[in-house]
Amino acid sequence: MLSKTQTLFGETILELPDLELPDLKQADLELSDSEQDDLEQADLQQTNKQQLLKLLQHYSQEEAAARIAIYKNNFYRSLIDILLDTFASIHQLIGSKHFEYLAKQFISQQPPTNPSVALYGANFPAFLAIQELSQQLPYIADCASFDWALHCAYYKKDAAPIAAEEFLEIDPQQLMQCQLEFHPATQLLQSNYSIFSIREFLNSNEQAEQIHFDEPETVLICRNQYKVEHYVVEAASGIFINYLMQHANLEQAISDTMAQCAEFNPSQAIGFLIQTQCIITIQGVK
Amino acid sequence: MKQLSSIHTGCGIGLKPCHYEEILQRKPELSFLEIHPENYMVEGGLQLYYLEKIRHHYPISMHGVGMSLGSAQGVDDQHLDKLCHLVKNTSPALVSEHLSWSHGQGAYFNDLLPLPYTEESLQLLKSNIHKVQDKLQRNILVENPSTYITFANDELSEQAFLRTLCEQTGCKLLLDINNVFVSTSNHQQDPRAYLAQYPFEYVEEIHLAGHSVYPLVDTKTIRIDDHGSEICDDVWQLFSEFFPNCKTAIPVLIEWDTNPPELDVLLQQAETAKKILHNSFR
Repeated sequence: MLSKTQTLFGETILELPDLELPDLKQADLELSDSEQDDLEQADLQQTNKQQLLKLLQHYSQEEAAARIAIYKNNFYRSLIDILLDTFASIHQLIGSKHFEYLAKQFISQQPPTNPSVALYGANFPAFLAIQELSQQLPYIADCASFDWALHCAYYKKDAAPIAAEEFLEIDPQQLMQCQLEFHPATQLLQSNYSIFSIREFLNSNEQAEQIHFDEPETVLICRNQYKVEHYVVEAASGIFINYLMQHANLEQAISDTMAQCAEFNPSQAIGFLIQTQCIITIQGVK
Repeated sequence: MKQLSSIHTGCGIGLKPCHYEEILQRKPELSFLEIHPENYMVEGGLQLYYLEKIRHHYPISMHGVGMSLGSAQGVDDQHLDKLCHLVKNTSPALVSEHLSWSHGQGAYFNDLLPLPYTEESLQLLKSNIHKVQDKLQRNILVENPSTYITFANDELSEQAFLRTLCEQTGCKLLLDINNVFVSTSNHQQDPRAYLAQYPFEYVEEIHLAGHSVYPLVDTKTIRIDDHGSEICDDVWQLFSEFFPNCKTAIPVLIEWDTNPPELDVLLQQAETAKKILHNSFR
């Protein structure tokens, strides 16, 4: 019985709300027309909600539905707010109304599966990628991945970076045979769109027409102690860092990168990695 | 080194990220700080860094919102493992959870959902509380929830339900006086009649918080427990009247989770609670 009650309750809460869900106010606590219609069809159609209402028969149907709506509203509102915090640039790009419309569908289709909701939303970028909206704004999923990577970097395991001097102490020929281990918060995003420039634009007062949205950009996300930072990197450096993150040794990563980009400057790229403090171990030093 | 593994009495506040730095700098006179463990179930980063620093100055109380003690499918082993890990690393003075459920059908509902108070629910809660306590190797406190519905098949009162849980599992109680006020008001009951039947002998912590009032249907209103405002006069009054029913002076928490105000606002609320507490046990 309890199991059935919880199934009915859970399914009723998960049902995609017909309501707009702005800030909690009177409208959220009243029945929408469609919910009212459902109630009037109680004898014809045994929906989850109506089965649940039987367990709440000491209220009028209207009042029971309004009371359940509070739980439903708490569920959607709290998770929309979490997604708003995490995907702030998507909110800026598409506005509150559209964001909430998409967020509600995402929450209904992919509710959290565990109580650590600070890390809820991993699949939101992939969800955005298959929405009609991404035909108009093809960069939106990559912008969401950027938001997500920044968000996750805050919670990754702590690790101490190696100092520049440690690089200098290693024989250069031996260093070439080494692999570099990156700080757990480090992420490389290689996008076909100008995700770095779009973010810069959102945080400035520039005019939209000054941005070419479809120019590929690569972004490196690092955490310096507890501060999350992000850098735009040249395509060649991005290829190089990607090889290193796939555990290639320095010699192999340099050679493979140069085969693709003759203009690649390895010293500059290694200097940049040391400066960002995203290397935590040099592996293979004898 | 201060003894931080227990809280004898006094007032505490919820620890919020916006107050981390200020608390470390000012070290306000508080008996404890309370956290939601779910916010610290991460691999690393700033939150864990501050928790580690702050716990050396204040006893910590862990107030869970995600264990879902009332889930028909049982508590989540992975979540319990994470809580156990955090408890081992942080040595909190208190660990508490809610008389509610939030997990089912593979989804986590991010809310404290109500239970019918039936014999079946009681057996389930007993089993889940035993499992949590066995894993943590300590007794937990169980809090009365704010509810917006009651079930037609209720067989027990909430107070009788809680008393039986304490008697049969060894758990203790976290009495949330705001929740008593909210729930009794929402169900047209008298909060004093509720508290007169409440098993105070098991209470080991009290919560005080703010709530909001919204229209429901017709002329009815409903109180929603949003922890986003100052404690209302009615709740202060109930606290004054019923705090002396506790067996001894126990820790009292000021809860404010939604849009937390300046630290001084919370400290002022804690001062008010302290005065009542001291007057009760002079």
